Amino acid sequence: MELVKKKRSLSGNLRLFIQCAFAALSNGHLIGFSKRKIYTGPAKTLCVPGMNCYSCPASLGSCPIGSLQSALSTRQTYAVLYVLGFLTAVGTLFGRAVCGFLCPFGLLQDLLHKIPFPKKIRNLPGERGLRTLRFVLLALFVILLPLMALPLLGVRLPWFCKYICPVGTIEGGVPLVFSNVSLQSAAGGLFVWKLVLALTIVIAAGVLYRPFCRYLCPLGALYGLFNRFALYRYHVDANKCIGCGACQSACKLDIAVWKNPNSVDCIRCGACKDVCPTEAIQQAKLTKP
Amino acid sequence: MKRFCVFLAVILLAVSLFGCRQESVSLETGESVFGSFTTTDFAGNPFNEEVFRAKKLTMVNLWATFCDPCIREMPDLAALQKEYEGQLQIVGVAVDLTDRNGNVLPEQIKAAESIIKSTGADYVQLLPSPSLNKAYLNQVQAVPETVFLDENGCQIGQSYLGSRSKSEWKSIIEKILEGMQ
Repeated sequence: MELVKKKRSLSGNLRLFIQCAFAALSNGHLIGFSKRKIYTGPAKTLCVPGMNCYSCPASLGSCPIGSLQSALSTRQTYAVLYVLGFLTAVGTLFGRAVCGFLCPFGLLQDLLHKIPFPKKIRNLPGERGLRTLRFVLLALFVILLPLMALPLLGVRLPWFCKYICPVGTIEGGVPLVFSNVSLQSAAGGLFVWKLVLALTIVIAAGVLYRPFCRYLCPLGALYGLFNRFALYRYHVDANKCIGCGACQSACKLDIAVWKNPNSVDCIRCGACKDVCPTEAIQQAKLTKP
Repeated sequence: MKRFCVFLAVILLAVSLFGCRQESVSLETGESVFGSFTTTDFAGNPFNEEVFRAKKLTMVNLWATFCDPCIREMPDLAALQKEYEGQLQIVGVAVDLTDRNGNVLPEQIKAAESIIKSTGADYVQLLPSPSLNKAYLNQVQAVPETVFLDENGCQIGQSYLGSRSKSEWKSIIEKILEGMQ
């Protein structure tokens, strides 16, 4: 029992370490906060794999979802192909392991959830429906609207970034607006809406595990589609599984891992693997199905 | 584990607090915003920092071909230029016409020219140049950005980020002109 406990805390801490290290790497331009300016150098042409706002003063790379919307709306074909190629490459390698290991906003939600609250919620009413929302946002706000708004409405804008993304509000909007007088006079009703949405997510994250990832993240929606085929995926050994359901109880996203080890909702935190009494859940070997 | 989380939280808090101080706004008297630069307009006519001497107040409007709010306000700016002909000159600079090394991109020039034509923004429109990029354009964080300069190229008041309606610009211009009496 002691050995299992040790293994659990070791893999949990390793994941946290990787999350922090990658967040520090992708947001290493801390001087942007004191200079109140975003980094615009050559590294910005690289996409980071997770959700990380281009406009964060500390950000060194570009958000793939933001880049996709921008390139689609301004008809930059090569940029669209670059981003889609990047997302496909990362998706086929890691699937939603990006969410569990490499996304700074995922890290933020993980940390917020560690804050002790009198009651933690496992699911919201209407959970199944809510979890389809992120696919709608991906299809509509990330792809269709940026693509079709130009011929239909004559406007070119990143719809998800502008109207929804709380990552952008927290990482970019708040630091820049609060430190820049000229931006304050430009901030209006839209900024208030974005703030309300971001605050709701932040507060919800203390009570419910990863609300943004579950309901709103278009990038997670996309990567989730790769979960079944990615190089980094889980496999349940049917011979070892005793159907005890411990994996589902341990899963903070309430996934029935023993039935569905590569669910579109799974962010690869590994809690199920750590708790399985027969070690039936394993990372799939590269050469086996 | 718990201590590590607390440590992390403290670091994040410190960084966010540090980043939230008020920026001191550059006001009336200061050095020239663009310094000394050389560039041309779309017809190839040479321009430098002397362009600000033409009128007592210059409104420099930094815009971009990808920026719809910039384009939407340009007809209003053209109208304002006609209205305040004697006292004000508007100078437009499209900031997305060069690549990272300062080389002009022909497709971008074409896009900008077509926008200027369709919006009627026929006031002075300058191209970005290496000296202009170095002086100011490389640090532009958001468009449209509008700054008001006196004859010496020194900034008057705050910079204005974001587009505004014609009446909003009119009251800003009136206020600045009044302050210059």
